[in-house]
Amino acid sequence: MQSNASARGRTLDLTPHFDNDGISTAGNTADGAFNVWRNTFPAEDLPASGELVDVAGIAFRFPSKADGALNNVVCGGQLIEVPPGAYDWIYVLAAGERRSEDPVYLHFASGAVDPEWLRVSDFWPGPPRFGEVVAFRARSMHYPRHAQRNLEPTIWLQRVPVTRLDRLVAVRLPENRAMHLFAATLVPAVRAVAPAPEPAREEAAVR
Amino acid sequence: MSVVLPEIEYWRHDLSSCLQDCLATLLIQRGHDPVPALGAAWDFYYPPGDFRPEEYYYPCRWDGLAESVLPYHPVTSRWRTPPGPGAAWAEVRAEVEAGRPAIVAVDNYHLPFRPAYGDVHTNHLVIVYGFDDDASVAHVIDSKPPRFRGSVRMDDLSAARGSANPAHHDRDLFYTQRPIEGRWLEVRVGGDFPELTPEWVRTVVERNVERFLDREGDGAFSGLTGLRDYLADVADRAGEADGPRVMDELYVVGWAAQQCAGLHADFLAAAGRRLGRPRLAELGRDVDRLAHHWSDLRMLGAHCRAEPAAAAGRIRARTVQLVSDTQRALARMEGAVACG
Repeated sequence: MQSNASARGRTLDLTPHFDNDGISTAGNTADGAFNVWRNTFPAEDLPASGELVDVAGIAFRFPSKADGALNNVVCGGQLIEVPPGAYDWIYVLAAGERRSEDPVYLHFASGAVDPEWLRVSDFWPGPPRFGEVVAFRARSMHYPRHAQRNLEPTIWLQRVPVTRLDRLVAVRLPENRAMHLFAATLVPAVRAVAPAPEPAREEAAVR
Repeated sequence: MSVVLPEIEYWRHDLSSCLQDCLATLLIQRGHDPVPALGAAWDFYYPPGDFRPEEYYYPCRWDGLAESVLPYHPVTSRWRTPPGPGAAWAEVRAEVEAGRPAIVAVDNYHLPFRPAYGDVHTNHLVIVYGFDDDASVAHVIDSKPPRFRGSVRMDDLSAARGSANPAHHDRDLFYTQRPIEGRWLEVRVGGDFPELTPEWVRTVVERNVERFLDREGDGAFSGLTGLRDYLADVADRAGEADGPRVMDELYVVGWAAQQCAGLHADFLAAAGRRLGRPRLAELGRDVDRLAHHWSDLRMLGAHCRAEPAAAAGRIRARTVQLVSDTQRALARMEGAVACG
């Protein structure tokens, strides 16, 4: 992880959807509750609040780590509007309470909707079961009453493909209580996308 | 006297409980690959009301815990509950002295190497693989992160094994209020393990499918219909007075089902690779999908303890997906068996 102006992607602001605080400082490990045991990621091992970070060549805006601040979204079927555009990938910084997978629904300017898989491995120490890359691996796990060394929670870099050659306008997250997203970035399409033909949209609306 | 048993190795699967971790360490010590043994059976079975607050809870279809986890292998087990603290150590010491690592139940609250030390009560399993009478220590291995292998003061181990396992605060969850009582699991590993051949894998898959499709459950939730009925029952009971306990049950019983699916997925994937049968690996991926449904169900149970009724709709919706994907996996397995 490093700051790098050449990192790709258009960062997506998830702040309005944040509903969980999964990060605490060593001075107040009781802040937040990523899981039911109230474990949290240690702020000291993560990027600064609001920092633009480069993770494997993708730019992400890291969420706030301040005490009491919400900094991730628990997947609960939220509809997230995106800057309309042609994209190849949606990259996310994510972690699971146990690994899980579910479809996200991609909404396009033409009215088309496609499901694509979002897959996230466990934040507890373990392998990336879905081929993710480690974005951040902390040196300790926070418990409300102490910081546990040698227990290294992970935030993963994962991605979702946008296969339709159309302009993406929104993403519906899964309803899956195990999946948390800390940040998201859209990577523009390499190939230009032609606008969807108007008749097709009207036809679809009639049906 | 001092004893340290050899060939004691860590083993952990990201969906396993301490039960499979411990059984795997015993299998490795006897020269066996854990995944073909622990992952061969795929099942859903739950006798109503059987749930116990233990990290190692596993609903037993057959007589014996190991017999139910590894029904295709010659491994047996019996719980031993010694009459008192002295006997609790004497029995485990004798087992180790005889060359057999002993799986013992503990409350992590009393074990300095666990994150829960002095904080959270729980009901966990570790292995005692040695002791030093003069130093008054036992040698213990625990594969759960942060994993540990080393000596533990006898006083700490005795406290962990004799704990009343109380619930004192709001993080004493799921695995408390069941006294440990010095329990330990006597395990016997037989000699003749089946080889991972195409014929054996086919037989295993056939039996698993037959069991899943069998509608007879002897009063238990069993197989595909049992899976559907159990989760419908959970959703129905979520809004009742004992809703929080129903959520605890979903979290714990769901873990057993998730372990079973996750390990069977890896069994099929490993068989596919070793036997050059890509279709088996694909079936494994189908079964992994089922394990992932359980993550959502279990976390709904965990996070909705305070308001269980709010989880009912989500549980019903996830059940439809889980049952549908289970039917799909079973159909593909039947097709694969038919094709040889």
